[in-house]
Amino acid sequence: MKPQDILYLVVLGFLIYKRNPNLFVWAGIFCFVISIPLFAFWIFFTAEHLVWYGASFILIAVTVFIFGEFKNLSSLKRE
Amino acid sequence: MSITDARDTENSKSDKFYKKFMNSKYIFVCVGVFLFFLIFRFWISQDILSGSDLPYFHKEIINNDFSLYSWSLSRGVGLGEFSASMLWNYVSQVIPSALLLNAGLSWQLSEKLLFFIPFLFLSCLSSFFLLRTFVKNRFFILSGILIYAANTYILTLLSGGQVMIALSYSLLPFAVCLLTKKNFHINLKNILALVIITALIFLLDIRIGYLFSIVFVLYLLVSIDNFLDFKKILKKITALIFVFLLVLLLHSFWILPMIKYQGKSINFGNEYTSAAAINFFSFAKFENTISLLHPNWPENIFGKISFMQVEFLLIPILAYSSLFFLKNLGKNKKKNILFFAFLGLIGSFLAKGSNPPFGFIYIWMFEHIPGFIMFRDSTKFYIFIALSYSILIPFVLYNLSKIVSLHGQKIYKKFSENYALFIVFLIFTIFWLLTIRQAVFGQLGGTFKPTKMPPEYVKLEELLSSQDKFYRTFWIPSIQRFGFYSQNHPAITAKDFYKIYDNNKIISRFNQPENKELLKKISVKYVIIPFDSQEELFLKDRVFDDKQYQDIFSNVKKINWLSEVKGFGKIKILEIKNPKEHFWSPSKNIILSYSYINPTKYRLKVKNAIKGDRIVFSENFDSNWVVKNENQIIRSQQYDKLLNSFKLPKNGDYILDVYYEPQKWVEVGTMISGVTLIAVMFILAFILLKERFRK
Repeated sequence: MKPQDILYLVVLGFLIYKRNPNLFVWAGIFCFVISIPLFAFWIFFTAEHLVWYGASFILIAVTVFIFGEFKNLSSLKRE
Repeated sequence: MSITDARDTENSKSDKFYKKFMNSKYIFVCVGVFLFFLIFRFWISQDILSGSDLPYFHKEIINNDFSLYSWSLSRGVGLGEFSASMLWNYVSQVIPSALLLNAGLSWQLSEKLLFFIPFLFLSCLSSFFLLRTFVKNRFFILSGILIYAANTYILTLLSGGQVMIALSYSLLPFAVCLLTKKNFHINLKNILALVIITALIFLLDIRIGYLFSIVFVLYLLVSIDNFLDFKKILKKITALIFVFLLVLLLHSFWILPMIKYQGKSINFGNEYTSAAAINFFSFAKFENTISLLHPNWPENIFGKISFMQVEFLLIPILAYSSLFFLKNLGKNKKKNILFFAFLGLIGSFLAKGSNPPFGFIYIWMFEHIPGFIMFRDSTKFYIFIALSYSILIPFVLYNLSKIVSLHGQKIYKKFSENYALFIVFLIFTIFWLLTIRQAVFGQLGGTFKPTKMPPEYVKLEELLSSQDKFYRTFWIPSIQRFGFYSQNHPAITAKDFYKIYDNNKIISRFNQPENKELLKKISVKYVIIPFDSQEELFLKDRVFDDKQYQDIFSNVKKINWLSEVKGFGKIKILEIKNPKEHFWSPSKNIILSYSYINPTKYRLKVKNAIKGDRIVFSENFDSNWVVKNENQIIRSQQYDKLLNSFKLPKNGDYILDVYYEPQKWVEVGTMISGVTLIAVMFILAFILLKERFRK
């Protein structure tokens, strides 16, 4: 496991603890942004991994948002 | 008037201008036309738009016969093959092309009328309909249209001549629009409209139809509000089944014979079905796919992958920023935005194929999910990304313009929302044009570089089409894009015939002595070495190599059973003396004559036959070729491990009907498709008329 993977897991753990999907979106976008200079300077390994991490954060955010919607709508219907 | 008043009047004038600009229908159309002209202007040409996957159709391609046949002697498959499983392509591409060519139009005009203009028109119109439910401002709708119709994926596809996929792609937003409208509102009108669009998408390209089916199922899952509301779920599932059942019925003309003769159509071979093939064809990396950057952009040379261009990373940043603006949205709109974000991520993951991360998932899906075998080239999943980003980015731009307007007003009081809209639209358009600058500056090849048909090929067409007697042509190494072929003079490609894909090895195989008899038996009269005007047949490390052409010609010229006849420029033609007829017999006593009825039916007159004599039918062996004599049916047997042959049932003179059995299933299927189409259209027209009268 590379240092960037460990850092990713730490951030992921923190974001899961926080339970705020918007923070996941911020983290995802941040990963994409910082991968830009890395690609520009041909630091491909880290840049590629950052894009993967970014996409995983976004995926988690979307999933949480979607399930949040189901939850909200179901509870509204029950009421 | 004070100076402040004058400034105010000036400001309000300028604001009015921007307001008018951003809301005017005419300006919207003019800007749209200008942008599309900038990108696609090379298509306005009297020359041929030719890409590697876009064939050149000659007028004689289907002999004025527009019926559907289960056996085809199409381009390069001059010995014939079971073609029912490809009839959808025949209906959508070959028949319309032949119709226009037979009406007297040139191919240059026909291909533009059939493929390129409809692509532009449909992709703009269908994205417009989809986008207007998400974005209020016309100019951001235009941004969405630009993203959908002019991204690196679709431009690469178009430059490579994959026009049928492009047309199918252009219809996809229409279908998605019907799905997302009122969270898939189920009524008969919606369902029938969806049936027609889905059937059309499948007709144009079956893979895009499959992709739409995935979108359909995913959307139904997302659109469910409450998983405990079984009644509603059942209603949605019934609607889904009903749509696909009708689509199946509409496509019976090829599905029915394909199911019946499955073994013939689903024989892809290892090069299509192995995990190694997927690894080989997985060109895109994850950073490419999520950035909507086609791996072969801009050169579009097979297997040549370009470096990651960093500016493209701004695209996913923009698209997924949409998740910041969910707060104030209504229930349905919020669900739709989330659905498109999800679709973009799924598309990015699948379009990279077996590349990391988690590439094994794609291989598993390829091996286990029915229908996934069609996606050996995983880049088709870019369609999900294009569809997703064409919604998400305009949505973000619209919200961004509101933020810009708010902040702008803090700095400068007169800064109105219209300024912000204009600035955001302008910056985005410039950015997008920069990402596809190679298209804007005319650096793309293929269909974006119009070409002329070499006169040599016109002369070859005149020579071949002037001869009535049936014979075949044998092209080494393969038929050139403008090479002539017809039902009467089918073309065989040496590469496919020998299943050898190295030009040097083809020559050593062709030099073997048994080829003389073999080519005679399959009715080959001319061996043709093509003039490679498009520089795509004689390649060494993806670069045209004239030496290969010279080597092939000098080797073939030395063969003593071939005599060179007058060629046309660099098209070299060599003749084989006394090739066999389409039907012939190894027994010398028999006299044969035959008449061609259609590609699946012939009438054969036999004289002086002796029971047990063989008649050879020089087409690829298929046991479904049968001969009927009175009530007796004789099935084809293999001759020389290649051709069809029939054992004669009795002595004497008589007439035989030779026909291909799967054809009757095509006829049944066509009937079912026709009746379903009429019924669907009739009911839809009835509903629409009823609605109009009510109003």
